[in-house]
Amino acid sequence: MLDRDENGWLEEVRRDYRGAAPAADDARERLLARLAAEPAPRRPRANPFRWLAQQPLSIQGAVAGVALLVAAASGIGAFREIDRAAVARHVAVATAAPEAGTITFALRAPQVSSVALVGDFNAWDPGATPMRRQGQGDLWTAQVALSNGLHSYAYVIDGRQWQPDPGAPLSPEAPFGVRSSVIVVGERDAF
Amino acid sequence: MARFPVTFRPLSGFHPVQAGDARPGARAGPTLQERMTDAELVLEVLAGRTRAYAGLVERYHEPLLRLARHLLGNSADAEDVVQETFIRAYRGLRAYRERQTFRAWLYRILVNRCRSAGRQRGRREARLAPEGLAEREPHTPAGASDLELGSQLGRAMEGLDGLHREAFLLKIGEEMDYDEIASLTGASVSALKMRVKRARDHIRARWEKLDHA
Repeated sequence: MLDRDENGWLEEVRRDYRGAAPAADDARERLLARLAAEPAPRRPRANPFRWLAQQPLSIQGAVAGVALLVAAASGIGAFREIDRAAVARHVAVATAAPEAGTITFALRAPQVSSVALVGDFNAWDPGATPMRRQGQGDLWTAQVALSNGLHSYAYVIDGRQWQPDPGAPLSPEAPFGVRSSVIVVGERDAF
Repeated sequence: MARFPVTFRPLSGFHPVQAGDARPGARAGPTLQERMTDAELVLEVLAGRTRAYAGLVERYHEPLLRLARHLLGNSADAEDVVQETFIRAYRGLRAYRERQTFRAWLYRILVNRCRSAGRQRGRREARLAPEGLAEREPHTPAGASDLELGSQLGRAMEGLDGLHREAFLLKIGEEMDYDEIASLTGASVSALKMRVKRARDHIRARWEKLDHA
């Protein structure tokens, strides 16, 4: 009985607390105006050499020696496998389309041998929608007929590297442990 | 180069994008920003789509403002503190780690800002107060300021120091668990339980007096 009385009182306190709604609209606008003047925060670039630079010279020398031995044993060409940084520079243009129909996905990915489009529209099958290289350049495209609504998709590079589209919003879900991107088709006024 | 059959427009704009059924007359569903988790919005901002931060402001501005008003006892100070909290979080976003929740991080900044604001105000008022009056506890509002809240809780909290007020509001108002409050405030769980109990006794006694007034 006492507990119920206590719980009832606490609920009353919560209602009072939440009911005292502050006049937040103007304050929010002032905040957004201040934020607009702020420089954009960026994720810092990883610097694998920072740790090495902080080590004694003996450790730096040992690491450099091991690196030279590995390079000699595997051939310098092995380091040309894939230029990941170059792949990350690709340009995506498909993020939203005002009407249903054939959508062209385009990806700029230099120094790769194949790119496939996967998504909820092709059962995430890397073999279903291979992208075609445009001429000898680094632009890859694929055309897909999509219905109105929200679609998730990703790119598969060289048959094994799944990655979302950095030029598009990320999907809230990662059903396969891999983040995907989102394209919204239809509803011109929604944009 | 191939000519694209449709015109694309970037989806990274500020205004929330409607997801789901796009047929005319269909019931509006959650926007894309609303469907995103805090961590996903943070990643969007760090990827350069800074307008995603507006989604986080939309989500947390009102609760933070409400908490700050109850901690500080007046709207002007609360708005300053909340604004400072969001600005600091934005500037420090690159240091944000996904192992902690954005919400907890934001509340920690707010609590610390409120403590600082309370101390500054305490020093200011102590200089103006007659000699002999002690400086108040962190972010203990003036009694008169509490009236500005216009709520029974505000009046019942009068006379309660900042640390007790903070523990009670986070536990009862924001319904956080003790571990989360401990990570925000730096206090131990046992100390927090004691503060919540004392605050509850103080507030309930005054609440009932106000009920019968």
